Amino acid sequence: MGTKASSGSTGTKYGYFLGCVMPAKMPWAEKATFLVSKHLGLDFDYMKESVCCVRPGVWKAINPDWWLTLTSQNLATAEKQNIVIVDSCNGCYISHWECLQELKEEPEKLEMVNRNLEKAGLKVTLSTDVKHFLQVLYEDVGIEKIKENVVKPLNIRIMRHIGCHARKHDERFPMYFDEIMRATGATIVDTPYDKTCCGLLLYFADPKTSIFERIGVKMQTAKELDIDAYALICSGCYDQFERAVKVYKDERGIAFETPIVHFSELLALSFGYKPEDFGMMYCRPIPPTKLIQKLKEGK
Amino acid sequence: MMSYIVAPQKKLKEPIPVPGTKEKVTDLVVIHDPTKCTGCGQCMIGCAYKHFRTFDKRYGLLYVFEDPINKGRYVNANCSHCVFPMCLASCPKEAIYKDEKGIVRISPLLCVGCGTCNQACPIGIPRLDEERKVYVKCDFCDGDWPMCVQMCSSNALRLLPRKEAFEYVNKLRSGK
Amino acid sequence: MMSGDADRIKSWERLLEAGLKVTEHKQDEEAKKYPLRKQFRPAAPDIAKASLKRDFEVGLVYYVGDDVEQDRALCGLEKPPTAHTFKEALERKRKILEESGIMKELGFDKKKGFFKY
Ligand code: SF4
Ligand code: SF4
Ligand code: SF4
Repeated sequence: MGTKASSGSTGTKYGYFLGCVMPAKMPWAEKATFLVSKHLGLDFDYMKESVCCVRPGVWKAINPDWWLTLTSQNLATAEKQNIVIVDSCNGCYISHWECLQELKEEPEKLEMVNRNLEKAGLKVTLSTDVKHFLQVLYEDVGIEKIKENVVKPLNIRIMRHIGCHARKHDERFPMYFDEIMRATGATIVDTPYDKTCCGLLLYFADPKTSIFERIGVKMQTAKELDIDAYALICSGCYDQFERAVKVYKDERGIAFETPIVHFSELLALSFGYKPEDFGMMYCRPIPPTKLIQKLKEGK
Repeated sequence: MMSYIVAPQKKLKEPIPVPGTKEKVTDLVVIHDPTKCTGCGQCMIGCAYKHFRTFDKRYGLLYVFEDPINKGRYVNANCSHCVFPMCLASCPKEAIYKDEKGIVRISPLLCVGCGTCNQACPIGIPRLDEERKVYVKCDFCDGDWPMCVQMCSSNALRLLPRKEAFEYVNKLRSGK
Repeated sequence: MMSGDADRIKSWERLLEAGLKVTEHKQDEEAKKYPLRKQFRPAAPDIAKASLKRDFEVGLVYYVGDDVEQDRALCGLEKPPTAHTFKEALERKRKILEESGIMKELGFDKKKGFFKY
């Protein structure tokens, strides 16, 4: 009954935080995420009135206090709506989560933030919680339930990019990712570059390293190993993948063919949804025609 | 569960004395775990912005680069504010000193930009600041919560008390 | 992988240009005009300005226009319930930016949409 949205309890109201990239560049992932979460019976809706999470990579460097202030606008909004924030972008997740932790640890910062938010009629009381989508699936739903729902195991080979911020706690999130992906029936191919960053923040500082030595080597490896799809979960990483693929194509004349897919898409496919249900073939730099073909032939 | 909050000390406290000498060193030290580092470069960018107001990572005062042997692994060099700093010992102008917090600093007023400290430091930390033509090195963010540690995206950089840091690094080494 | 003069990354340069375009006092030009003046670095680096500007004006870093709306419709989605739709949220964000002095320190002029330096 309390305002505290306790973690893990049934009946938790989840508010999905879209972020910047997902609504603009990956509508298919957005749709697939909702298909999956509704399928699993979660009380899952959009978090309304959200603004940019404020990229921790940029704003924390500029001024950590500003980052705290701007991020807590989302926390305050979530508190008003009485939801648990769910992020599937690692950047958004870590921004919200770290902000919450820091405000909990340091009362002076909380005071400073509230002083700034007051003028906009907001207040942070730290009654909300922040969760990663992986955490919701693995900890709140459970791997068993996901396995039960897989009706169409995917017989494909994937490489995965989990992202830097998902490694911040410990090996928890990467493990969740792998287990859930294995549950869909996909085979995960390990490569030395799995851990390597996508280079999103480095793009501002050093575009060549960020594109050629980060995404470049990843996509090259994917090409050499001839895998079916590159799975990722973070929208920030997707942004960088898309950018790098475009640079390679438009400026270097090299076309990569491995489709970059979102984690929830593969999950939705294994739950028996069709690619058309979430518009898998639209607005992508690399259309997953081959993958869809393979999945059709597979069953 | 939230394992990394266990390092609550974010600022330097009293420097710790080195037994048998008059030296004092910082009680905290930044260490890097190459098994976690993803090579995102945020540490360098954070440091560069804090000290030089630019996102150009070459301005950073610590260095992360790809391991030339093990591809896909990233190694780093950051100042550990040594107990007996080689940079300090080597400086011909005595421009390098250990301040009351135990931080090893280069005085830009005394430095003549000869580069001896870079040669003497086992990991070549001091670098030339092209604009002022003096050598610069990590100043431990003046004893605040180091920017590089704050920015690290995968918790590869950690701030640990010296003794624990030593044990941690030993554990990392023996693990491989 | 890279070869010859194909060393330039055009999209990056475009981003930098976009940042410079919204700057009133450009540092490199000023430096040419007044070579003895010490160069000063603005709080917002040129390369980040374009995205910061969009953040201040839209509330999020990417814009959702008609073309994106069409793509979203293809995937069976409506307008995103973010600050794109809820302008109050954007207003609140602007107020916070303004009142906490962030805009001032970054030198962003809200009316003209320009960074001062
Ligand atoms: S610059 Fe090198 S020698 Fe000097 S204190 Fe740092 S690590 Fe030690
Ligand atoms: S402690 Fe501060 S000065 Fe030293 S490398 Fe890290 S960010 Fe730079
Ligand atoms: S911020 Fe952390 S993960 Fe990124 S390069 Fe630096 S040490 Fe490695």
